[in-house]
Amino acid sequence: MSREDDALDALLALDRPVPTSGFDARVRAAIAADPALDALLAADRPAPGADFDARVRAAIADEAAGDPLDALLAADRPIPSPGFDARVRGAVRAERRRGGWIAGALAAAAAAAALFFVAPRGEGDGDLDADAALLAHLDLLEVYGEVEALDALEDEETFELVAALDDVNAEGIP
Amino acid sequence: MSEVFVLDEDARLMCRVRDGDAGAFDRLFERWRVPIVRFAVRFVGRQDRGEELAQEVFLKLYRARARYEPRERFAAWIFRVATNTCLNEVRRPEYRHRPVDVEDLAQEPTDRSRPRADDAVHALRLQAAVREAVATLPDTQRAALLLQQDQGLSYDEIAAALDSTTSAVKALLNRARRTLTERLAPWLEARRATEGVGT
Repeated sequence: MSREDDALDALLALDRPVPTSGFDARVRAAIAADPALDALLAADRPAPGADFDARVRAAIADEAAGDPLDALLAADRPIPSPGFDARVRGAVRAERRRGGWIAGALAAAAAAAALFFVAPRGEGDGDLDADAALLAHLDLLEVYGEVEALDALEDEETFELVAALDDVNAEGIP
Repeated sequence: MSEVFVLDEDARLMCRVRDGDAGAFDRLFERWRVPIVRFAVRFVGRQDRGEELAQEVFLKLYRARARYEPRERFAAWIFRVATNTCLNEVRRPEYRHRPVDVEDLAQEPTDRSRPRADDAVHALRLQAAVREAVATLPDTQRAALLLQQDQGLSYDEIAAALDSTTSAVKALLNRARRTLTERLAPWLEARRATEGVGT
């Protein structure tokens, strides 16, 4: 650029007017009041579609109802059958008795063993018959798991039952 | 800093069982008989075998009483025992799933506003379909679903019951629900149609 152009630019720079303080407000007011602009803006006034309300109601109902799969799964709510409580209580009672019985049986077995080895046998000694039955099945007494379903081992018939425990169901019933 | 565990009422009852209170065990049994039977029956799909397994659970609890130390919610503990009992059952080599029989269903009466015979038949068929669909899920998916859906256990508690992780439990539940949604699709559609739910 020439020195004359520089001089001209410097001269022109002396006049740089700015908006006065009220200018912005006046422009905004003018725009807001512009009827043509209002008409233009009014051309875009969207309204809910015909099925909007129904869709919103359905969505709210879905939310309130929860997952339909959960509602379906809730259709299966099994309950204990009438005999269940009695079976469980019976089994627990048997557990309680077994806990005291095992200690007693082992003590009785030990006493019977002492009697067998120490006391002379004689005819008509009825007590020794019961002790002999107990001794004959000491192996069963030693096997804890085989007696857990029963209340007590009191006679030969019960010993035979214990020996056949494979055929006894979980409730202790043959 | 170690977590402080606050005893819930059932854990306190179990402590009393440990200390020799037979009445406390009766109370626990009364409170948990339905949830445990429900879990076991839905797990194996059969009322009779489910009840046998439930009985085993209560006996295990009773036998373990001397060693009981409350380290978690009682619900989480009893369902860990129930889950292991049921998983052991279905993992026996001789175990075979038997399809659900409508005759076998024992149901808690819930809807007395629908006394009509065809409604009752419909309800039984729906129950049988739901039970069969659940009983044929893979074992761990089924366990996770029943623990969450029926018993309200947290992800952490379900993970503890299954000896797994929380993220694995979430994956199991996601897969279980997708599978069930497919298997029960006709029932879900029918329900939506009759109740006008969803689009």
